[in-house]
Amino acid sequence: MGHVVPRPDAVAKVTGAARFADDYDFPGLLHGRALRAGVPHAILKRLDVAKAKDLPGVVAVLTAEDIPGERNHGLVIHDWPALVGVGEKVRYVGDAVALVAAERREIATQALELIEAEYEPLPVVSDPVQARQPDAPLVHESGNLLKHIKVRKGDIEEGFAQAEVILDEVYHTPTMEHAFMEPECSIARLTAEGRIEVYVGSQIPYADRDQIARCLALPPEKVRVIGTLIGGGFGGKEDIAGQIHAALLAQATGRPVKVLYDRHESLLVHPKRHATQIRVRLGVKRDGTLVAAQTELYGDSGAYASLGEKVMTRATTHSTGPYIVPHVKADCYAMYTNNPPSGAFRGFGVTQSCFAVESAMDQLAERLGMDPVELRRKNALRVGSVTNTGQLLTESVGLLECIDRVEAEMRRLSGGRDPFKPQVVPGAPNRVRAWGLAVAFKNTGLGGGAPDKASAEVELFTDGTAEVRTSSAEIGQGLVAVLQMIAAEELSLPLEKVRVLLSDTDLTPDGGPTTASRQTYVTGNAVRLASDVVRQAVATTLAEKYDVPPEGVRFVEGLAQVNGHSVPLGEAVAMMKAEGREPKATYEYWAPKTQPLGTGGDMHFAYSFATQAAEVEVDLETGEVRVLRVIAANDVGRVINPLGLQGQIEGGVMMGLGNALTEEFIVEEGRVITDRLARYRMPSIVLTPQIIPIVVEHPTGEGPYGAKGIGEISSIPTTPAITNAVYHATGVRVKRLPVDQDWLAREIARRERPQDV
Amino acid sequence: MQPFEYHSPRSLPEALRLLQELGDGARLIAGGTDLLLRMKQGQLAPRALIDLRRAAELHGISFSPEEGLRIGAAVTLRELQRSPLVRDHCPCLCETASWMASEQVRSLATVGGNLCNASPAADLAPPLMVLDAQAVLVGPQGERRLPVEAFFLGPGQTALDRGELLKEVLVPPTPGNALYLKHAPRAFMDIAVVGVAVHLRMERGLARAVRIALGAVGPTPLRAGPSEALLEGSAPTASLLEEAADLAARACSPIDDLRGSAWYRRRMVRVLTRRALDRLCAASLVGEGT
Ligand SMILES: Cc1cc2nc3c(=O)[nH]c(=O)nc-3n(C[C@H](O)[C@H](O)[C@H](O)COP(=O)(O)OP(=O)(O)OC[C@H]3O[C@@H](n4cnc5c(N)ncnc54)[C@H](O)[C@@H]3O)c2cc1C
Repeated sequence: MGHVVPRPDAVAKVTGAARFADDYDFPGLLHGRALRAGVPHAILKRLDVAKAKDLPGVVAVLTAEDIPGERNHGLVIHDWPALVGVGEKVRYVGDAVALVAAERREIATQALELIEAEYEPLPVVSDPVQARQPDAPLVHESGNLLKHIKVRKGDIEEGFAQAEVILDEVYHTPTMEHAFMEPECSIARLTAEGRIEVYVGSQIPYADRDQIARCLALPPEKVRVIGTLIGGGFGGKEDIAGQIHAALLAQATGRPVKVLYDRHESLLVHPKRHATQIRVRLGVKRDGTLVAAQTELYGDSGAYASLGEKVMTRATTHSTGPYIVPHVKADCYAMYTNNPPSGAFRGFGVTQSCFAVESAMDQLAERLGMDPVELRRKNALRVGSVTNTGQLLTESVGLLECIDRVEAEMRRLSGGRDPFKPQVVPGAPNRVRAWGLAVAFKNTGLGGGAPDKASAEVELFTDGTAEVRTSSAEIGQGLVAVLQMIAAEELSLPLEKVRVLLSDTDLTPDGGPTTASRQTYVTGNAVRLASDVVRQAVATTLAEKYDVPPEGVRFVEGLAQVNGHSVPLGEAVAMMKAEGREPKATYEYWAPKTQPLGTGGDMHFAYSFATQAAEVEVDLETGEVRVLRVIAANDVGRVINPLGLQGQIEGGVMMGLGNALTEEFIVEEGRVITDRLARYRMPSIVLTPQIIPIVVEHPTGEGPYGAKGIGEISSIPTTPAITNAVYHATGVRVKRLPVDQDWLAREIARRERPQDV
Repeated sequence: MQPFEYHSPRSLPEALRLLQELGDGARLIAGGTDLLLRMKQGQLAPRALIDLRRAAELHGISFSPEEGLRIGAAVTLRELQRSPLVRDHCPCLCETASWMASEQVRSLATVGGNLCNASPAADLAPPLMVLDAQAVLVGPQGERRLPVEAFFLGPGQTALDRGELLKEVLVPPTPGNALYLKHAPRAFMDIAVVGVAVHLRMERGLARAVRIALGAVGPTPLRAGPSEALLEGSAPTASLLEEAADLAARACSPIDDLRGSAWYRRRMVRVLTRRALDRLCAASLVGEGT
């Protein structure tokens, strides 16, 4: 534990040898494509597929009537039609109305153009605030409110009555795209036994299996999902993409079918990060003690539920920051609109609310004439604090240490100057620099009362190797290396003797969704405990043979030592087999029970904490912002693979930088403007700052070796750290993301010469 | 994308003949980095493509003291960026190319394609304009030359007649210095929101051959005539340069779009013009002393 391990898939990915779903081929493979509605809200009046069917090379054209089972899919609520039927409603531009399978992709594309679809347009709901108006058109018959989420603690009126200073602000964050490198691809085929196999890079293979089975009217055992390598997920590969379509076409044609999205389709169809409007009201004593916090959030969940309710719940429970506040009231309205659906995206709603509350805290510090770090330190959660959902924190709260260490490093790098005062770059009077700081917390695991469990199987072989099996997904975060290290540690094997097999619903037990920064903790524990069971079984066998108590067997470097003998593990395994004992074990690990929101108990079994400080340089004439350095401290409980941790921090900071400065998924009246990557601006390598990681380890009792999640927290405070720095450099407060250069230049100019703007 | 015929002529005369024969349904293609995108997006559906890359006459970069640099239309941006001849005689063009697209795109994209695509934001246009470059057009009637700035007629529209193509660009030898400043939100792999090119030389403390060209702020790349006139023959002072930059901002007619507002573009013209002038005057003054 704690030493650097290169990820096992690294070389194959860099050399191009790695196989992603699109790299698989099968004899007789057909190419499937979906016709997308292209209109945001309408009734499908007429659909004529005759010409497409007649096109040579077309093998099947399917419409909603051809779906044998349930029409709808969805991770929580089944409200998302696999195909919209005639007389039914289109709710966003990416809704599918027909499927084509053809001998070649070009033919499939041509066939789509021959399908005649007529729509009767309906008025469009294009933002969540509008969606809640009483006269707003309805996206779903049940109403536009997906969920009203409430957090209550203390007495909010009383809290504000005690406050000596009150801040009240509104912030906006845009829809965002994951832009994983590998667009979605699924290949489905029938097996000789009449089952359906689907090859796909998915974050939740078992959920795929069940959703496919429901639409195809098959029992789940008849469907096998085989996970391929995943070229990035970030939450964007939790929902169904082409899995059901490929399976329907394979079932209809009897041939293997590949459904590959091009970038345009990927941008249009898969769920995004929720756009939000967040109002933050903070009440504070003159000395900086927070007494009341009230937030109101609107989340744009788009056309279908996806994980919208869960995401916005996380946004809401984290919306008053990692602070001790006696009186809290938070209300969130997760709304349906006719925009592309929103769902999981690294940070899971907390990215948005962290930007809002951390901007507000900086504004409050200024209002109080207080150092912004001091204000945070004063109110920071610590062991013994009670969160806004009523959870008493009893361990593993490293926030103060994160704050202290980032502050020390920032002050050291500022060479004694006030880091929050603008510094003119010598020789360049139009360029100023300053630092900004933000803190964050993020739950590890599903929480809120959801059963959170993972199963893993560990098997030993007579050649002295071990295999770990679980359905969890490697989406780039480095899970394979982590599970390999844990099994090697428990079995006292060299790393290279441990293989990891992931994501196959026939061969690997259910590791649960790869989401909520949970895999290292939950599946890591399952692997740790399964390994332990296997090790004990080996020990028992040897103990009997050498007539010692099982505790007398020691495991060292692939050897079992007993009574002065050194038995290679492979030999011990052979002995077990000879005795008819299975050298393998499956462990179903249940994470500590959590309580639903509103019950006041432990809503989550662990939280990660972070502090980041960013130094920016702003060109006052052009509005350009360059991030020069980011100091990032993360309390991850315990580091398992430092190299994986570094990757998560660097990637997280860059994603947060894009969120702050360049990225915005633009949808106007339900129509996607950023339907190509050329229009969706991700930060390029030249914008990469120097990233200074600081590791903070406050172990959590139940985590494997004390570890908790890092995947999301590393990205969450980056954005407000940057926008707070922009404020310190220029005096312009960012309340809407991203920081548009055009807007910033105008705001700066307005201050200097109002007559020019 | 609609099916199309593909022709790959081995010489310039063959290319011209094909262009004549195939008529309006045919399109020339070089690197395809502009054209193929538009075809894939269904904005264009030519019946035939005539690929210019195998015509040797359109390749190569050469220099003569009389004519200056000759850059073939099929020269790629990567070749331009790395050419020692260009680096020696027009370093500004190497620098410009280095800020265009990405290494991968630059090894396909051509100089001719950048000009003939006639985007108001084409990065090569402003520097070539201030370098007084000529476009050499060739067609059934033979060759003709036009100043590069007369080559652009509107967005996507050039002075090429039916049956004509761009053969090469000629950049006369210049004793002055040129600079192109590009502003793009992502700094890299991004189309210019504003591009400003400036050329001048300092003679006994006076600015000569002052030429200023602006990209992405009008239907075509354009010259900032009033600014040039103000500075020509003057002894540049800070306030004069500021005034010239102001005039440049007033000379353009930008629009609001996804990439930037008209207000911002105008402001960026002023800022970049001022910065380019500052740098060139400083560079030239140093040069004068030696
Ligand atoms: C990712 C990306 C980034 C880009 N970044 C930039 C950038 O930073 N700056 C920039 O300016 N551009 C950029 N571009 C646009 C494009 O790459 C350039 O304009 C390039 O120089 C075009 O050259 P090409 O050879 O690919 O042209 P093509 O696409 O082959 O042709 C473009 C047009 O010119 C015509 N044509 C080509 N050659 C001739 C000729 N000799 N005679 C007559 N007509 C001809 C074609 O018929 C067509 O209409 C970018 C493009 C992409 C895809």
